[in-house]
Amino acid sequence: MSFIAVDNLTKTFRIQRRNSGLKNAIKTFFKRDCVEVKAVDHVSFEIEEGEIVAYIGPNGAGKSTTIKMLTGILRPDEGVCLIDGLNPFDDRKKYVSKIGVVFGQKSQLWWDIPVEDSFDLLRDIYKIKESDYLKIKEELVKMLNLNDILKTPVRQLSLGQRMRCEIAASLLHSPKILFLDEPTIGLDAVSKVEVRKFIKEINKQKKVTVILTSHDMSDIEALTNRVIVIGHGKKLYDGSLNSIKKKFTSHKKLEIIYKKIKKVPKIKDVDLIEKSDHRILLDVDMKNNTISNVVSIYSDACEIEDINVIDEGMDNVIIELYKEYQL
Amino acid sequence: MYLLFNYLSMHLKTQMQYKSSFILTFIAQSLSIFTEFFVLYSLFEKFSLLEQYNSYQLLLIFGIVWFGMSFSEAFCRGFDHFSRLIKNGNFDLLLIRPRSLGIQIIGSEIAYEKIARVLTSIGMIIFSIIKLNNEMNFINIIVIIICCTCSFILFFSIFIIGAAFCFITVEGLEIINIFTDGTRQLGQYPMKIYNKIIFLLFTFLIPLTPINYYPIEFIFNGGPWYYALMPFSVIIFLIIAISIFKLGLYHYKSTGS
Repeated sequence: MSFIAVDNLTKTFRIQRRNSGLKNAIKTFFKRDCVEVKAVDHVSFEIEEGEIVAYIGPNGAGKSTTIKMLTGILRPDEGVCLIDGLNPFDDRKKYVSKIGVVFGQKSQLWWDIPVEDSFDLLRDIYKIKESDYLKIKEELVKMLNLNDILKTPVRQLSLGQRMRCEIAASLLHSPKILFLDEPTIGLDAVSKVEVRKFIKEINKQKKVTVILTSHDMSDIEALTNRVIVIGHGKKLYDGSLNSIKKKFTSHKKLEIIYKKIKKVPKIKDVDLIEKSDHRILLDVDMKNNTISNVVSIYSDACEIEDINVIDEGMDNVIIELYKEYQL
Repeated sequence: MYLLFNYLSMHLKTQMQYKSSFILTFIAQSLSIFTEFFVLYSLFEKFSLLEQYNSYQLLLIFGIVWFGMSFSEAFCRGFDHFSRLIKNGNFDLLLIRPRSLGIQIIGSEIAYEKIARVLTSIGMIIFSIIKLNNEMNFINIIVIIICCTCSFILFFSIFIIGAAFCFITVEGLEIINIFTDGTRQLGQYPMKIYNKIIFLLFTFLIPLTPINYYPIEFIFNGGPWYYALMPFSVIIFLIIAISIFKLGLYHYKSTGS
């Protein structure tokens, strides 16, 4: 039995539909048109203890809904998830003391009060022993470099500082699992790197299982190799990041700037994407071609001024991936 | 319980960040309750409905109902403003804590300025007890204390039911205000002035008369002994309210990402 076993998890929402306009608004007041949307549709996966797993998908794919079911906030309509032998919704109180959750867009800290007071309250909520609490707090403060901001009211913190505090707050009770819902949203480059570094460290040191969602592919590249891709509520892919990358960088883009061209040469498995007066953009299938090969053919056909090879970044890989699954 | 005090102190810390505004609202709140009573009193004087109750008895009824309402407004604000908690998604954060939801919802918002009203209504009750000295004995005072407690439970239950509706509608329902404010408005007058339908409605649908009618009859007009125990019926109302809330939680959908 895996540490986290999710089996055929399904959640259906009823969404009201109406056309715009006052007349329709009044109409729906009396009779509602409801459409059932499967936010999460028979999703299954397993996660072992100590793993870091990225859960990705476009907006509205069902990421947050899945996280909410895994954290016991929502009750699944169908299917079960068993995490460390517990059912999140039914054994809520027992279960949530084992997990830490950070919602990038919601704060668990008290807005007007110094961070430390919020931590103290969490100590009482989780019934953490004073000696354990002091030890863990000290550890987290050191790792996340919070010493200077611990006595500052939350409203005066920068977003990066706040996020570091949020993460510390979610780890005070030494959870076994950490859920991070877009932990780096809105952060600057430096803070992002810091947060990532910390997540890696905590995973290594304390064997905390981490499940994170993010739209920032560099987050995911930096943290993990296992990704679960979800779209329209269905699980589309579960496996290593590298193999997606390999699969979707089988194509490279080649930009050629030239002075004159006699005739655009036709090469097998090389598609013309754009052609303007002095520029050609090609899509090269790397299976049957090499860049140098294509360039040499082109140099015969025209006078080349400049060449750019555009490697698809991780973002593009994901775009390609979503495209393939028609999201 | 200890946690509850912690929440209280957290809110107090927040409140202390905005001192002067707090003091001003505090004063305004306690003055407003007096104006309410004077309006009521002059009305009754004009229409000479004071035959059945004297003005101190009136003040006592008024105080009991206002105490319940203000106390639940002050300390159960989280249930009263539950729609906010759902709309801004903070309810999700309560669900990921290993504590009872009730305590956490109560702890989510505390309206210290409403304590002004609580104190004022307690003052009114004590004042009327002193003035009604002749009819007061130990048992009667106990009955009054029970009335106050049950009055609080009554309004608390109405808040819980209102909160439960937010699970379905997200938006808070104005209809709940009819019950909370309506119950207070109706309840601050002696129930005798209303017609039979309203009287029955506020006995069996919302147990208001068990708080502000039957026990008062027991104390002043020699009602049978079981009139004094009527306030306890609000406990049934509370149990129903909690069940409705739990049912709503089962259908909770959460909002946004």
